[in-house]
Amino acid sequence: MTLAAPDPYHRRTMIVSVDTELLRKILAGALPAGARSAELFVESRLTTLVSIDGASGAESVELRWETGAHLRRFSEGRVECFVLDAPTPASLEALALHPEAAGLEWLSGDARLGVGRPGRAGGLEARLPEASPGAAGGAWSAAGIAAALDLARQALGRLSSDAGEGCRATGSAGLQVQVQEVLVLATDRDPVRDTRRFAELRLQVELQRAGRRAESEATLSVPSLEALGDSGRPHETLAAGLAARAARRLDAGSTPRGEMPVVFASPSGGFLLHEVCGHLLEADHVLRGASPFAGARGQAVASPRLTLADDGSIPAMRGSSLFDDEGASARRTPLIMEGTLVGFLSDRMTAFATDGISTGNGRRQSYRDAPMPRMTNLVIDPGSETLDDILGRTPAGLLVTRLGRGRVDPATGRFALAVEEGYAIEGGRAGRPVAGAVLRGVARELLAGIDAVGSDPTADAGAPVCIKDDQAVPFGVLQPTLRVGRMHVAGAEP
Amino acid sequence: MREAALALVERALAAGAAQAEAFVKVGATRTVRLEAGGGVSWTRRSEGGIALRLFTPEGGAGFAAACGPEPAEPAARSLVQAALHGALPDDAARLPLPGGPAPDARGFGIFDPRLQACAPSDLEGLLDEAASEALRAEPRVRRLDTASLAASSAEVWLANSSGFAGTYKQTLVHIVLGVVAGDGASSVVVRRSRTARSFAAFSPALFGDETARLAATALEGRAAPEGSYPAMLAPAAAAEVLRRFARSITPAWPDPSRPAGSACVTLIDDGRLPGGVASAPFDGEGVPTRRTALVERGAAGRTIHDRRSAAADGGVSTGNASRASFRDPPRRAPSNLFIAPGSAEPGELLAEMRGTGSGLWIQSLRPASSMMPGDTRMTALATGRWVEQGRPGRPIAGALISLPLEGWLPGVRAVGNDLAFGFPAGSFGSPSLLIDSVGVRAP
Repeated sequence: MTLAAPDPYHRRTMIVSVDTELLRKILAGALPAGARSAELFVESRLTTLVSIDGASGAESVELRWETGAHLRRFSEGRVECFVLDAPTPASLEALALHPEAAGLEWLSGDARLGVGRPGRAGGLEARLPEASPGAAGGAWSAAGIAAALDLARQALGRLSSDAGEGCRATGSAGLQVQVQEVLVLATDRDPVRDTRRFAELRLQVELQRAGRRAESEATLSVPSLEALGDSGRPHETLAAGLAARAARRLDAGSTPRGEMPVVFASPSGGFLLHEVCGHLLEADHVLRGASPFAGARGQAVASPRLTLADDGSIPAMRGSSLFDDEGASARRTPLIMEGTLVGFLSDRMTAFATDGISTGNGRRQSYRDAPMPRMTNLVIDPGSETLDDILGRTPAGLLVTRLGRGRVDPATGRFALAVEEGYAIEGGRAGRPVAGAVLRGVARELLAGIDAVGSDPTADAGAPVCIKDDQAVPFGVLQPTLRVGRMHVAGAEP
Repeated sequence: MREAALALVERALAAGAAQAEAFVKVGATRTVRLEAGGGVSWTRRSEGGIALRLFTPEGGAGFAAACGPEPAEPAARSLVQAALHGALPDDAARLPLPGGPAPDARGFGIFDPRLQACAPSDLEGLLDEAASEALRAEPRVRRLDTASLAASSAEVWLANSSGFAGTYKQTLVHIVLGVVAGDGASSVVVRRSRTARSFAAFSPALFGDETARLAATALEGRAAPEGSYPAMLAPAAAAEVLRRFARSITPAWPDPSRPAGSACVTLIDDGRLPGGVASAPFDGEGVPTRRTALVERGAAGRTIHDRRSAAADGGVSTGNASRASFRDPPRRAPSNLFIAPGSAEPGELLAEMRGTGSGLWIQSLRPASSMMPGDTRMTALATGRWVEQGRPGRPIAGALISLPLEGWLPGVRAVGNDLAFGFPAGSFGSPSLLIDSVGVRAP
């Protein structure tokens, strides 16, 4: 495996140079008796992480180069997994041939007992060039690091300058640039490889003015560091927007409370729907009976206005990739069609919940982790009304333009989510900003209560992260404006 | 590994660094997991990597890390170049790195040879023991939700340009058990985990039994009425609060000008605690670990420092530089943090609630996301029992509690004698605590 990463902006592709056919033959030849198939996931990832704490002025840079392999062998009722850091030609070969022994040469003492050295498979070493991390130097160049630092500083500077008169702003910025190359090869299907890259900017601000205080945060995800430096200067736009939003929170009045219509402007409701649909429709939850949607396939679970899918194949969306982390092609998986539950999200291990075929949702945080069913991009089909149409039919209620933090109980579907930016709807129009609203409800009631779907689907430009069993993966949202006819709006927690 | 670390340090010095340190960690983890579909998955991870931190003559600090504990020539060159390129001004850059002989790694109780040498069948047996007991102990536990057991062993090396070269071995066992309990009308999922340095430190059967009983309480439990109540926190719940509170321990805490806790509170950070999940002979910068009393009988004690915070504060490091993995630079963090036990039995603490009317006995806390950024309160879902006149009553479950962290230590009225660790991160410990007030609202 050779890594050839590149210039400060990760423009060129890293190269994973492996004779996949030969490695696959070795894998197949080494299958133990009773094993059905084997799969090898190889990953290389370069990460540059820049952090600035505006309060102390402290800046830091962390650089990581990670490579690893994860081998799984499938038998009836049993899966064996072997994870190896920093594979070299020799250790990758050893992993394929004798996974029980691979990697243990690093350890001393009893852990090495009984471990034999693997043999050599003719030709493999010659075709697998030595890992060459020196080639990674470009990505860690002085120019690349300086560019990332400058962008973070510019964003933080804009945050302070746009805070408004009389406001004291304290902010922090984190910029992560990552390029990941994966290779999946298995004994029972064709090998695939994919390069995934992104740059994520995370900003936080605390504004204080005349004894009032407001905190807010914002994220932006783009395909590369270069895209942040574009003429549109999206990093500064994000900072200016965040400062303005925090300032509005300083001025916001009390929230209306009680049962009322809630309009989720595009794409603000995506996070909520990801939590109540994404996770609750994952096949592992369903198979365990730990989802309120278990056994509900074919049943009406939502408003007939709602058609919702998972789609990892939409170009340039945050959760998109050519293949999932098991090598299954990215695709659109219908989940709810006109209110009827039609599908679940599965990986290879849970595919028997989805007619025996993985839906391409086997995702993992890194080679260190086993894949599990996860949403890629949540997509809601558009309706025919504009936001103004929907507001015009709503005499009073709450308009949500950004959701904040919250929690969902996967077993019951019960949720509570804070509204980070919202407006009272008065006389069919968005009125005064309100603060402190918390939305409470149950997944099925929320889905059934959708009574309007807008014609304006937009993708969330932020950097949403889905966390499940301590594994974090990025996901995307494409959602038109939605109205829920009746939701419980409460105040902030005590 | 020692040679690899020393070679990287030498290379950094040759490239112009004023000081350098190399951290190497290698290890293996074996995990058994019962899958949703009824199968078993078995995972063996071989992990290893190296990190370089260097300090430039101009006062900058740079950090870079890579997988593979013995980097080949190009990788080592890349690491040094990257760390130099990323060097930024740092308060600790001009302080000399710790030198001298490395502390003796013996006697810490952090390495269990039996755990290191265990076979997959050993782990399956232990997990099966815990799972079987959970299913046997309580008939309303219908099935497992999740079950996994991981046993890991690792070796750590640290070398620096001041001549320090230290190493130690450690082992860790981590069990997660989730069960589904139901009574026909409703069902609940309860998950617990436990971490220890050795097999001898925990009993799988007892863990399974406790999990089943907690699930039964959660199934029977109803929400507590909204309001503010005195509460007794069981060790698991108190340790969870302490874990959340630890995030707010800045170098400026405790403030010597005011009480940090009530007179019954002594808060200890001990990096040398025998068998402690965070115990080690030296920290992530090579500074010998030690015991630090942050609060002594309510009075402010000393704070904890790594080299950077010590430099800024004009103090010395207390050996509290922690590395989450070889991929992460050392950061100031507590080691084994615990509230020292008192002399009262837990039952005596409950009885002390006799004069306060109603209260809560919180046996388990599941942290919930706070709704507001920057919220300094702990928000969590509680399971336990309602207390009337000092006697435990009906079960409660799903009660959303809110606890202002700034005032929780001054609000401790009594401390039990049942100090325990291992919930769930392992390095936070507490006895049962009687506290003045927690807020409750419907979830």
